[in-house]
Amino acid sequence: MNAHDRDMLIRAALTPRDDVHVPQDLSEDIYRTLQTTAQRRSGALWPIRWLVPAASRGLWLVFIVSLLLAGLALALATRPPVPSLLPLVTTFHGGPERTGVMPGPGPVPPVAIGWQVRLGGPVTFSLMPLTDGRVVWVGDGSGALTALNAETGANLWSAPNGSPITGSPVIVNGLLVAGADDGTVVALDVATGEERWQFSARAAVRASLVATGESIYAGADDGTVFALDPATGALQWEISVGGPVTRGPAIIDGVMYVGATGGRFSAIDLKTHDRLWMREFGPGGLGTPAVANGAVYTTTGLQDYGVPHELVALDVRDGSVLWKFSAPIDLPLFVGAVDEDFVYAVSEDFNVYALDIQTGEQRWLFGTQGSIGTVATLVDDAIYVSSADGAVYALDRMTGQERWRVVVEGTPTIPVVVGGRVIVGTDLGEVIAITGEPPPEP
Amino acid sequence: MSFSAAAGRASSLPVSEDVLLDRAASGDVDAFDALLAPRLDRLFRMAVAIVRSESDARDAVQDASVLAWRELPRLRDRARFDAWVRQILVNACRALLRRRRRVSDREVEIDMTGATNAPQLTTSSAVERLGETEAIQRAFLRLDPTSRSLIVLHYVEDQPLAEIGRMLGQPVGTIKWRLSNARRVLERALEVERR
Repeated sequence: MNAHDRDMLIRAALTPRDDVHVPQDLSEDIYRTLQTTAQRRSGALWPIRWLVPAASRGLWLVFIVSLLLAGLALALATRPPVPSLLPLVTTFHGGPERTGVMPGPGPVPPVAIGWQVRLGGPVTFSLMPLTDGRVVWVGDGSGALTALNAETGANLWSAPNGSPITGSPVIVNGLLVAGADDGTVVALDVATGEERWQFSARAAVRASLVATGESIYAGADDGTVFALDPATGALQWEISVGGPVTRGPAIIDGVMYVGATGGRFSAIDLKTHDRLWMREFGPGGLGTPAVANGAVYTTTGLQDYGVPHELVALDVRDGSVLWKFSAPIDLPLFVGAVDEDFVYAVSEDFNVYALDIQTGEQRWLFGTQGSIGTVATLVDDAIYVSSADGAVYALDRMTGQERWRVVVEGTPTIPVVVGGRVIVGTDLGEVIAITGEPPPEP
Repeated sequence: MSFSAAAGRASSLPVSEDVLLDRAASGDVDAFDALLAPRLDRLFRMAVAIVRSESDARDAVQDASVLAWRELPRLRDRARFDAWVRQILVNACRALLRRRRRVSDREVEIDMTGATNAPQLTTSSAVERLGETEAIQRAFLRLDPTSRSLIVLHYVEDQPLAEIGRMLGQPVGTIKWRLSNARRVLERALEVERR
């Protein structure tokens, strides 16, 4: 059977029978429900339309604005000094090395959903929330960047960006910086959401950003990686890496490691902008790298099924292959997290694999009930994994034994573990905090 | 007034969809009723294709309709109403599948929603293909909710990849990749079914 016939057979098998139609009484049920369902309005003053006669709305508005101004003046006069911002999770997958190590602590069982809030667009697996423990910042598929109170989930500010955001933002020098599908890189004040600067790249910026104090680094679909000045957004330098960059670079000790679609993986000196070494892994995309223990770890064959899906450990000095791992079923693999003992690989075959850091041999395996396109997070002696089965799992990092799981609506993003909470976004557009018993006093 | 009654009214007194959208966004249930009525059957069939059960599809369509009504005032690009409602329905189907999965493993109960749609075949291959059709339906039940949605949007609903990307909030490249992956997982599930 050829491919076209096969597609037709799938279509025929999955198309409902011709006599399947909407039940007559469903429309009436919906109509009755809608009559008692209020619509959501964008404006905070919308309720005035219902509560106040039209003729006196102007006076009411003046009264309310006066009250707000008086309250604001009082708050400014009496507010305590603002503590300095100490971002704890500033970058997709933890920090510039992207090892997945989070500050923690994780929640103490019994765990449950503490709060959940809905955003205007999906928070897909490449959009990890960022947090300083008090505020959670997140981008979503509608293009908005939002700040939430980490304790309650209350919305602190939200800034529309106009173009979908598919790669995680980064926090640097008090700025929340995000790339967008239209090639814009925008920097907002983390405290207020006010725009500080904008930069227009030549192509979509879909990979997660990474930053040092001196530069913000972004990859674009036109095959370049470029550095921006955090203070002004001005272009500092750029370099071609041989293919679209759809997954963000990792940085350690002044060297950037970046993969490009097409299979080229490069190490670039951030001071001289020279390419230190480059390796080719055939067509297809490469996974987000993680760098630790003198090795850089990435995965091959993404977006192209002609290339085997492997996790490769490369020597940071020259890019030579230290070891490779492939799962029994050839499906996309991702580097989940790295510590001194293991590299944790997650796969679309539903499994988490703990691999010996020295040899790549499998030490334990944990099976979920869904694809794991999202990656894992490491805190102390636990690893946290999000699966397309809708669950966030906490596993013992040495044995892979499940400690707990919480099921959420939708597919959760990489878990962010800070201050006794696990925070995830979902592709249904929600941000969810999983909480437990209060952490013990230090 | 029910949706079907509203549809009748809409046909006797033609009102443009723009006007209906404005009215519905301002809180007019009858206007929303008139907008939804001609779309309801297609939405229901799409939900059946994804969730593989008429009673679950009913729940998904009801949930999606109520959410669309609630959120309509915040829809900025009214020209995207159709795609937006489909997007909400796909998400409702995915949410419902996840809830169902938690309650029980009932997904092994298969109905034959597509059996009579199989292409007319010669007798020699008909039995073989009917068996393959059933295997595809059973394999489909093993897929995660997102893969199910992608396969239905692409193969059954004939939606372009760009539109699927907009509906799921992902770039076309990602959709291509995820669709290939969903197809691959389906083939793998088929292998399991054939054992």
